[in-house]
Amino acid sequence: MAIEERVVAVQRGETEEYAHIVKAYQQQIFVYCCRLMGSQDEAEDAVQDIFFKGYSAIKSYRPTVSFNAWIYRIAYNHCLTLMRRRQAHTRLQWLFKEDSVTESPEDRMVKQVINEPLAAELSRLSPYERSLLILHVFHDKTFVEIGEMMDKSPDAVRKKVSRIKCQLKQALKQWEEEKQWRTQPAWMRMRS
Amino acid sequence: MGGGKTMANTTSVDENEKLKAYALKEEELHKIEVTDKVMERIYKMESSRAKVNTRPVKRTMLLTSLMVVLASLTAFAAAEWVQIRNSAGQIILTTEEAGTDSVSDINETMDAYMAQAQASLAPGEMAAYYVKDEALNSYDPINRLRIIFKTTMHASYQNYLAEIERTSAPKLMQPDVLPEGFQYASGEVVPLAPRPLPPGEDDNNEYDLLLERLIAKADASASNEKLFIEQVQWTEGDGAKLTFSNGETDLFIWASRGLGASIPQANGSAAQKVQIQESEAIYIKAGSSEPYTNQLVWMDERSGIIYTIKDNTGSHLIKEDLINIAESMIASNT
Repeated sequence: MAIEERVVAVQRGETEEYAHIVKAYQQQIFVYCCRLMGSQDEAEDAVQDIFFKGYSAIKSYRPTVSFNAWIYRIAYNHCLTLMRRRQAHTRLQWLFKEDSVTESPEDRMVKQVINEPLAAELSRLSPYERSLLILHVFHDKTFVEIGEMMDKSPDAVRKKVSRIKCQLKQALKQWEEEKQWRTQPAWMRMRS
Repeated sequence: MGGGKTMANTTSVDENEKLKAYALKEEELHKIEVTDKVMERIYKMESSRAKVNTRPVKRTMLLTSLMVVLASLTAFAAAEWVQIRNSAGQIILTTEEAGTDSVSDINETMDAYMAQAQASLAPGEMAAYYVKDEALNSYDPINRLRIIFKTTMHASYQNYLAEIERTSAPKLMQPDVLPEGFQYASGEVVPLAPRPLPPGEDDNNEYDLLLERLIAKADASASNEKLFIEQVQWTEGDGAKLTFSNGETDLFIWASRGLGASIPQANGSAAQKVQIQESEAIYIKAGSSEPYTNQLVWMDERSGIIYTIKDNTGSHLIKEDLINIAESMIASNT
């Protein structure tokens, strides 16, 4: 059965069909969340919440956008909430001067999902820009699909992604040059 | 024409492949399986809905059942948080799992930088700082720019009130009712700090400009310096805090503006909803690992101010003491 047919079945009340939808999307949504939030552990928790939210809202889904775009949109908004909550906790800690209010990093052992130097450059992007890049580069989504997910025109997405990639290219080029310099023998560096 | 488009696509694909080379491959990430856990939550929710919809239910029986449910909330289950909704049905206050204290290298590093930045401030000053450390910034990309503030503790209540007035901070006044023996100890006002805009809104705001400037400074620096600080001028207050003491126990009251709050609830602590006049509040009796004994949180929907009352460990105060304080505050605000 196609995903869209399963969605209609769930909307009709056949709850068990939702399990097939979760199975179909869980890994790709997990990978997306990993790259967006930079943490595999946080991403795994987020995936469960995302699918639960998806089920809770599924009766309101209309095929004006693809189901794929719809579930990614839920994923993006949920990750954003988590990232903001991290930020809010930092703010609360500062407001209330209580270290215990801070969300602990214990459960947030960050496993680098992106090796440096890309991690460093991605960390300079806003969550929105990071999401665009991740969807385009790592999830091979078209600008039309990304536009549906982020509620932007494909052209706006294309321009933004192009600008981000240009930025990244410059930064990575510089990193490569520095890496080459660092790995050259000392006598060669002195000559150049 | 088609050839041009094809060439552009090929270039884009090549660029993407180059970028992918810098990232972990998908096969190197975990394989997850969450279907059963998700479906379990869904079936649990559906089951609760079915019970609520059962008819007929006598009003008194339903109320009694609800009271039993509310009163029986003790140790929490992962998905069962105490929540309060506003008149539009949106969650405004919720408890959530508290993080446990953990020492990790990155945390220690972050704390050290914060202390260093804080030491550069005089009371009443606010600053933003950026740390030129890729590991740290990758760990917490959202908080690359951090804001710190050195508070002014007003020993005089009148000076505190003047500061509230000067900065248009939430008007947190001394409650009419306090437990016996408690007196004003200090008052503080916390400034409105620069914040990032929601995604998609790319207009440069103060937060973005600060971050840009500090990153540029860091990039341009040839030295081994890691910490880059810029003082931030402020005129508007975002929160206020009052401290009362009876010589043994401290009592704190905060007021801050917000759309809602998530209240950390650690293992061993017990949360419940309580009614204070027309308002609902969340009361938490702390477990043994918490740095407080009692906590009460509520939101004044009209003003958009969240109030928190908390004491410290070893306090002999009880839930009703905090409720009495809250009642007097709510009565003063109406």
